[in-house]
Amino acid sequence: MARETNPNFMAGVPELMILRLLQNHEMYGYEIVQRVRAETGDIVSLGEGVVYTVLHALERDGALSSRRKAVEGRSRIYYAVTVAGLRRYRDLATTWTTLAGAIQSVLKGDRHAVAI
Amino acid sequence: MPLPFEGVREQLLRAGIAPRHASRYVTELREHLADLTERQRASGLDAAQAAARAMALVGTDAELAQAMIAKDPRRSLAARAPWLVFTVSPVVLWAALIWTIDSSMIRLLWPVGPLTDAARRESYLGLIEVAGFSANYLLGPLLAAGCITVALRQRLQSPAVWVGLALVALLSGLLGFHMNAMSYSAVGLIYVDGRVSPAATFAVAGLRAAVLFGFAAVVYRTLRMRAVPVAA
Repeated sequence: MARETNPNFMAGVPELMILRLLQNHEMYGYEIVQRVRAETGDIVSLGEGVVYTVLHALERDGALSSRRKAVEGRSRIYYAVTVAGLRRYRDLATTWTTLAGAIQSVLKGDRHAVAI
Repeated sequence: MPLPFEGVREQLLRAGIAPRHASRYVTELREHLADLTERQRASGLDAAQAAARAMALVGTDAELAQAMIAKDPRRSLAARAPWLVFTVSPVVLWAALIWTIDSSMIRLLWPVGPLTDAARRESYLGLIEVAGFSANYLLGPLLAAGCITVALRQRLQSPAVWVGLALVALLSGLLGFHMNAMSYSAVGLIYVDGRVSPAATFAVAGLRAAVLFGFAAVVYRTLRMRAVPVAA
């Protein structure tokens, strides 16, 4: 059975996570999926096969670059963030921070209402 | 047994995704599957269980292909504009190659001047023969082979492919490239002249076109029927 993801809420999240993770060092698809899972405590998981569609789309838009590299007898495609990718990350991060702040304030408002 | 994700490749190609993008996606999926299988093995599953579990985690061919088509629809030029690729391009390419052969021969021989060396003169005349033969008998089949290769790689079913093959056959059958070479051995000169003109007789032209089209059609049909069927 394939691991379930929550597609509606996840819109835009894979891009954001990938662009953030790849700022530290280049990675290949499997590594990215594992790192996202590890860093979010298994809360966020990218679809195992679907991660490549996001990577290819980001590369097509110029946000990522890729290169083939042979490691331990395996030929892997490593991805890295470009300057355009960094800009895109900053825009996405700002949007998400604003959104999260707005949701947080609504939730806090609910709590106050209950307290009152 | 087919390699994993061949069904994904077939579905992507039939959806018009460029072959190199389809190949790369499949390569990455196979690498991913190998990594996942190793992890399952490390967690204690036997080889068959690990492979099945890894495959289930990656997803079905249909899911993977649909995800790629929806998110990254990089369609090839042959899929987007088959009439341009299979009908206009061969004509332009044919004209460009004829022009290249013609101008190369003239440039090659123009500065030679009087050839007193008989052996050198013979080798130049031989070169002119080869150029004429290539233009008349190799260019058509090569262009037809190019059309067939592009169509098969993209799994195209467009009528533009058939029209393109017919056009290539007609072009190389009806029009002949005549490279005349006259050797004035007394003064050691070679006169070279290349031009495109109708083939000698209509019957010969028709026969040449029919043979080329017939051969190309049989090859294309045979290879297309051998294409891997899409997994259910």
